[in-house]
Amino acid sequence: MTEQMLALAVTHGLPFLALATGMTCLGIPIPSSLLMLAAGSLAASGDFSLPGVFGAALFGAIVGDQVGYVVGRRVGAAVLERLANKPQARGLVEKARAFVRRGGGWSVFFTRWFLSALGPYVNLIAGAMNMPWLRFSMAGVAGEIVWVGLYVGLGAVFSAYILQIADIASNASAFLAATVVMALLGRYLWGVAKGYRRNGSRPRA
Amino acid sequence: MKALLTLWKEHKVAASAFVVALIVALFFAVRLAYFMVYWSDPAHRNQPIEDWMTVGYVARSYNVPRDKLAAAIAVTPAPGQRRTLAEIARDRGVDSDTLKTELRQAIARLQPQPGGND
Repeated sequence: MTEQMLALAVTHGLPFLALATGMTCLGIPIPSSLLMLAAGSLAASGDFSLPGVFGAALFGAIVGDQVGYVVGRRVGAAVLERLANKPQARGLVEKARAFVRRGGGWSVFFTRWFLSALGPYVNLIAGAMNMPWLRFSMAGVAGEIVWVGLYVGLGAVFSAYILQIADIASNASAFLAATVVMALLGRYLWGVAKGYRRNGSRPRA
Repeated sequence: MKALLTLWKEHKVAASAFVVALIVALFFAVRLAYFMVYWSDPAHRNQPIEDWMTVGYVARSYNVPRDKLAAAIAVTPAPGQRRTLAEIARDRGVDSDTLKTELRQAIARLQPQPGGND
């Protein structure tokens, strides 16, 4: 599977790379980080132009992010509205909205590269929460520049080690993403549990 | 303990999501540790020549001159024309293992000190 992907990237070149990063940003599991590493090292060995590789991967990622945002806005906003009408969920939805208003830009930026496994979901949420398009796009583009630059650059410099880098980076990134999700849920549950203690055993539902 | 049970009963979704996230985090932590140990062994570090690679890629990975390596397997590198080893082998009517053996022999000849590239 991975080898076939790499062969396709060599044969079809930059359009394939753009397609791959775009799909990854939509949450479709394609080994884009490995493809970017490989394309970076193929550029260094003279088979591609380095700016071409960077531009194609970046273009695909930006388009993928925008599609996710639009889908979130069109579909997600309606779901969220219905959820906010339920009394149990209203508080949570409001909290989430406030979070997006306060730290939305940084969340978008860091989920492009540092916590990239969460990126596709953050796009949907940003759209659903009606995050201002310009702020989403600016944070998104800045983050994707880091993501693409990091992998293409590592590939160009460490040609002989792309499989190693891909293995370690993909596992580290999935681990980080799961840890952050766990921490956020843990903080929420901890807050609820503290409320129990304060108000006796059974407070609000 | 009682609070934990109440928490579980009343926030099943969040609590199960927490447990799932914990399992996923542990899973990737183990995989990450495994790959770090695996790749830290020098014996595993030599990237084998594979079908998807181009001559230029092999040349760069093994630190040998691209043109000489291409010449060694009778390929004239044309700019803008990327071919995988599998395609080159097919065009020449040999199987790709034969081509890889030729490449390995050429690399051994071209490398300044054999085994210098780890």
